[in-house]
This record gives sequence, C-alpha cells and structure tokens, in this order.
Amino acid sequence: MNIHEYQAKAVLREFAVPVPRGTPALSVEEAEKAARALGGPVWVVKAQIHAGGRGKAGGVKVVKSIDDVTREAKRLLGATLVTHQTGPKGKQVSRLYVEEGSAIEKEFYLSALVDRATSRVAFVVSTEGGMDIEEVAHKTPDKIVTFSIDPATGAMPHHGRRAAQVLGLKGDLAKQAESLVIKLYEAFVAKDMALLEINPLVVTKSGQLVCLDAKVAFDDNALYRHSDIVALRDFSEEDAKEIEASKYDLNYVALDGTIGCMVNGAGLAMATMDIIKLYGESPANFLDVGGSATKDKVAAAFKIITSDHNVKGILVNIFGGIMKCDVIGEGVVAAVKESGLKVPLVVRLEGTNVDLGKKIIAESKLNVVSADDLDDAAQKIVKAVKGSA
Amino acid sequence: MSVLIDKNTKVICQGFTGKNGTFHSEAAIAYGTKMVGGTSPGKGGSYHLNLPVFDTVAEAKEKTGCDASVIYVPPAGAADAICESIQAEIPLIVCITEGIPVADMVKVKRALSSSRSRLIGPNCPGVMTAGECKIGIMPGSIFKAGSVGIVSRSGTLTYEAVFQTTREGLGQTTAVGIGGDPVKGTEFIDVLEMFLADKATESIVMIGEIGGAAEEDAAQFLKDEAKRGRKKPMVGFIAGGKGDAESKIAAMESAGIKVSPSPARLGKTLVEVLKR
Repeated sequence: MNIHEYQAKAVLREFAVPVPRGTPALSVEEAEKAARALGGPVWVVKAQIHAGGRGKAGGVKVVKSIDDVTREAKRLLGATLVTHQTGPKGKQVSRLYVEEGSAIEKEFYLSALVDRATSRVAFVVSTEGGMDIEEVAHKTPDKIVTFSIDPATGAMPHHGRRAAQVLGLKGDLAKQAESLVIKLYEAFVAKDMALLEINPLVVTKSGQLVCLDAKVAFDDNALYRHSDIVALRDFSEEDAKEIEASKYDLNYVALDGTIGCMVNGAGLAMATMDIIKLYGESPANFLDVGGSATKDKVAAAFKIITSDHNVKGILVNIFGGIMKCDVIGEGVVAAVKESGLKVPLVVRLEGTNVDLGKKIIAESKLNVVSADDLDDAAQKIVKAVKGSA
Repeated sequence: MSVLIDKNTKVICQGFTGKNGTFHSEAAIAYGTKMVGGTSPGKGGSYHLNLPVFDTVAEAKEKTGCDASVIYVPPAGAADAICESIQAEIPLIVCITEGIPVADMVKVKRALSSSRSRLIGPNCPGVMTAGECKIGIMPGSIFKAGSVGIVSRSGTLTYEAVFQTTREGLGQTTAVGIGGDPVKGTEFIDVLEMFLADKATESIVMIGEIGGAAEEDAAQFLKDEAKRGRKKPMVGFIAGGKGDAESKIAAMESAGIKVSPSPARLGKTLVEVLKR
C-alpha cells in the first residue's frame, strides 16, 4: 500500500526523523491558512499524488509570498499531472502539502527496502540525490552503495557511519547520519514498510540533515497489524476494479488488451499472459483468485472481469492445488446465471477436484468452451476473440 | 531415489485441525504419506483423522519421531509456527501459508541460519515425491513415478510441469515448490544441488519468474558444476515474459538450459532435449 508524501512525513515524525514543517491542504483556503501558520519567508507547494517525478511535471513549486501560495494552490488543485510514473493519463491532484522552504547545501539519495539477496533490510545510499535512482544505477553503478542490517542487532551506529562515509559527511553531520539511519530503520521495521525512499536527503545551509522528500510503501501482508496505516489509504489513487477486488481478497491487475483472465497464482497469471501473447492477443486484465477463494469470491471475481468493457473474451485457467476446481465451477456458473455472459468463455480446469468442477460446468448448460490444457485454452480464446472482432 | 522426502518420511501437520490442515492431511494420507500426527495448541491429547494431536511441536517430535512438518497456520501465526519447528529441530519444515509479512520472514531466515532445519517456502505448494510422499497441496493425481526433478518458484506452474512430464510418459522423482515470496527458506541452487546428486533424477525442469536474481545465480551454479563434470539435461521457463525475463533466459540458456518459449511446452521441450 502506498501513501502520500505528507502522510509519510507524519509517520517519520513519530520516530523523530528530521523532516521540514508542513501542513496538508485540501482547498485553496486551507493552503493559505497553512502558509500563514508556517510563517515563511519561503514556502513549497507540493501536489500530493502517488507517483514520483512531480517536480519535473510542475507539481512542486517554491514560492516567496502568500499570494503565490494561493496562485499555485489554485493552479494545482484539480489539475492533472503527467509524470514518468503516472502513465499517459496522468493523475488528478486533490491534495496539497504546504511546507516551509529549506536552504539546500547538498542533495543525497537514501532508501531502505527488503533485499532478496541477503534476506535482510538493506539501505541504499548515493551522493546522487534528487535524480531518478534507476538511471543512476544504470549509468554510474559505482555511485550507489548498499549495506544490509542484521535483524538480530537492528541498525547500529556503525551503519550510520558507513552512510556518512559514502556521503562524505564529517563531524556533526556524521553524528546526525548515525542517528538518522537508526531512526529510519526503527520506523521501517515498526511499521512493516516495504520501501522507504528519501530522495533527496539534504544538508541545509544551517548544517542540518533533513528528509526533504519521503516515499513510503507498506507490506500489504502486514497491514492487519497496522490499523493506523490502513486509515491512510487514499482510494481515489487506486483503480476502482482493484478496490472492488481487494474487498474480496483478490488481486486484480488492469492491462490494455482484450482477453479477461481468471487464474490462480501469480506465476500462472504471468504464464497465461505469456501464452496469450504468443498466439497474438493480449490480456485486458488479470484476476488472481489465489488459493482460498470461496464460491462467492469467485463469482465476484467473474463479475469484475465482465464489467471491463475492453473484455472481448474470457479465459478461466485454473490448476487447482489448494484451490478446488468445483468451487471455481460453482462460482463461475453462479456469476453467469446472475449477470449473463455476452462474450466467449473458455474454461480450463485441472488439479484438485477437477472432475467435479468439469461436471458442474457441463451440467449448467452454459455456453462454455472447455479446454484440455493451457495450450488448447489459449488457442481457443484467441480464436474466439479474433472471430468476434 | 528422490530428494528431501520418500516413503519413509514421517510427517506432522501444524494447524492440523483447521480447514486446510484437515483437507490436505486427508489427501496426503490417501496418497500414502506417513502422516503421524499434528499440532493444534489447546487440543493436545485428542485425535484428529485417527492421528494424535499435540499442543507443541516438541512433544509431537518426541512422541512420533517425525522427520518433517507441514504448516497450514494462518499468516499472523505462521512465523511463530516455523520458529517452533526450528526450535524443535525438525529436519524439514514445509510452510504452505501465503501472505506472511516479509519482516517476519527476515527474522525466520536469521533463525534458520544457525539451525538444524531446512525450510521450504513459505507461499509454496510443498514437496512431493511421486508415488511415495505428498507434503503440501500439490494434486496427487497428476504425478507419476519417473525420472524428472522439478523445481519452481510458482505454485501453479509446478503443476503444469508435473502434468506435462506425466503426459509425455517421463514422470517425476520429486517436485519442489520453493515459493514466490522475496524471503524464503530454500533457493533454486539448494534444490538443483540435490537433483544433481540424486541418481534417479535424470533430467530437471526449473521454472522461474521475473524479479530478483535467483535464476541468474542458479545459472552460474550450473555452469560451475558443469565444469566439474556434473550436468543433467534441463528445461526452463520464466513466467512474465517482460522486464528482466530476457536477461534471465539468456543466463539460463548460457548454462545449457533449454528455455521453453511457452509454458504449455515444458514437457515436449524436455522430450526434444532428451532425444538429442
């Protein structure tokens, strides 16, 4: 789950991480009020959307008067920002963050994430602040340093000294780096973060190490133990169908093709996409029903797929292990009986309770094309979709 | 021969009396697996599926002499369940549970590093030796005793590989689903090492996914082993044919693995490789 910058900074403030003072604003009036309370003389008006690259897209403005705060707030609220992370449609701005301006001496990059290679939380540190880190990694990999934290000890001062060394910080600033790394690690672990990215981390002209921007994503699997974080979720940032799917614990991914896909498991989802493409079509969406879906969840999943107008055909591809094929059969039949079926449907069932599942579908007398294996299923749905086009 | 488990492996189930524990233990018993009991805190002393229920893994191990434990405990208690088995020095722990917080797995991984246990998973379909022992949720009906070793990051694609190698008449020694989570107990390399050492395993199917570097590491391992003269015919597949799939496929091909372009052609591709 992603949150906004202002929310991320509020979370970090709980752990005494140094961030600039600021106030969120949902209207021009609130932005003005926030600016007066902060006092100036320099403010930053920042559009709050779940995407990076806001600065280049005009979503972050440094201003020197309350009038300019008002002007920028008017311009940004309701506007659509297109950045390299939003896709071509962009994202509409409905929240702002008004922050005190900082006099910047130097900019760095610092992030924390769970590193697969070491199975630990790792910090990524670079002197190349304010840049797209993937570009830095590609062009100048030697400017990125990574170190991991042993979960038995947690972050220790030596980790901070390592970061300070990489960033060329001495004296008091090195001390600040020690404390910063420890606090960020504590926040990362305490809140079950998946990613904590400070870009840029800055040294101010007054000699303070400050997190000027903050991007935080949380581990969805751990949200059950963080009701305070769940409350920060901004539904307007998410795809309506993905929200509907998440109500039923289903994973929905919207794509730009024509075939709606219901599968179980992420690997099978990707493989199904691969084989559909191999036969010359592409998926409109993916609904992963996972391993523990009930008949009602399967029916809900099916309705979500059919509500996508790009869907010209549906492929149900289930290889049941923990998921039982009869549950899939019952769910699909129930959904079709309730809301009808206007496009071709190919069903491929295999695995746990497969015979029962096939029988349920056969006895329903629905217009379903059954397939024997993955190859057969992909060919049949692609043919059906091309035939109807 | 096989790897990890065989007909003599004694298995307990953690989360034994729950819905998933019950359903899949019944299937395991029906397949002929030596299930010897299970745990369900608070229900110790009772019987479930005609097998003894214990409060703790330590007691279950003492009374049954089990070699392996399979875990169906819900995500919030799964790390605790794994660590309980580590503490009880269960040699093989297989965790099926999907959705464990990654921070919990970071701690589990640390606990494993100084232990006597091997963990398979979490978020995996389990381990299965055809005709002998079924630990986890893989459908038994698609297996056939044979010569192919299967290792996969994806649950459902493990079944595809099993299904297709059965249909081609090759059959399997053991199928190992290592799971799709970023932090897991066992990696490709560990299982490939076992398959290379196992005499009954004559060929290997390896199924990866995009993300991480485990496939590249495995390819390097296989190259190094081939230089030492250890090599078996292999077919691979990478799910999610975009992003870093190309570099993974290139790494695997350079290690002598024939990568199938389609997930539906794993079995046929292996037959072609074996003919050469």
